[in-house]
Amino acid sequence: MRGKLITFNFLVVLLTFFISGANAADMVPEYLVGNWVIGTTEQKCGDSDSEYFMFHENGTFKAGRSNRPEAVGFWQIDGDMVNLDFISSGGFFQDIHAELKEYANEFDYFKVKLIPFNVEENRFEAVGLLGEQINKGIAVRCK
Amino acid sequence: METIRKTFKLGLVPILLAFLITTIVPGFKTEARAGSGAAFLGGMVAGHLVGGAVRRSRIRTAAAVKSASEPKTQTVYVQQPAAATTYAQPAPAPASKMTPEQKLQQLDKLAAGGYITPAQYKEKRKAILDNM
Repeated sequence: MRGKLITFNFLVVLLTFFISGANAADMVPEYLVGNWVIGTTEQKCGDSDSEYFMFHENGTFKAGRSNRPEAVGFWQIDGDMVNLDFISSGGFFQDIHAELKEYANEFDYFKVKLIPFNVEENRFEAVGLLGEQINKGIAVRCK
Repeated sequence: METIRKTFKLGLVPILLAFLITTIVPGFKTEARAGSGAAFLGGMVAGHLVGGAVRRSRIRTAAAVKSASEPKTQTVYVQQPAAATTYAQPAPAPASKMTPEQKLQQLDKLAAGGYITPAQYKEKRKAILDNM
């Protein structure tokens, strides 16, 4: 009986260590502020085609590719989620969907909810929700 | 030992489910996501707007169909205000249709307004009276 209890305790400690290792950082404003490269697959900082996010201390953010801003707005951490309220134009994403050509020079408001997980010191993953759209992203901190 | 197994099972189930949803289930991958691995936010925006673009296109098509099916008299209807404007400010009758009296009155107005000289007034007045 004693041996089983020791084994159980060991496994609990191991599991706790594993879980805490996977969540080495908390999603707080101080953590999020900075430059990130975000993609549906892991991207490298410096790739011109990658999508970059700049979270500023004053609560604004900018996202874009190839040094061109494609979304500007506000970010806010709400519990475990990150809310993004921003303005963007579908015309920026003609390379993804050719039909979006008709949105050129037309700007719309969007609200995205990010649900982060596996938050590590310089990397986190998140599920993004925009209306009916769901996207999984991996963010890597850039210097 | 049984407790440990149960604990493991309970812990593994959500992890496996999350893995299945995000990795294996193809339906989870949106069209936009499949389009570009680099565009996380852009993929969502694009996917969201493409749905809107389809709806907008349908509305435009419906409007075009409705417009085409309506009788052409509606076009005449749209042009009516211009006609109404014409009615509100009737153009003066052509000189040839005016009576000598109207011509003389018009001549008086032109003279009173200083548009014609006294000599021109006299000449025109004589011409009107001679044609009676």
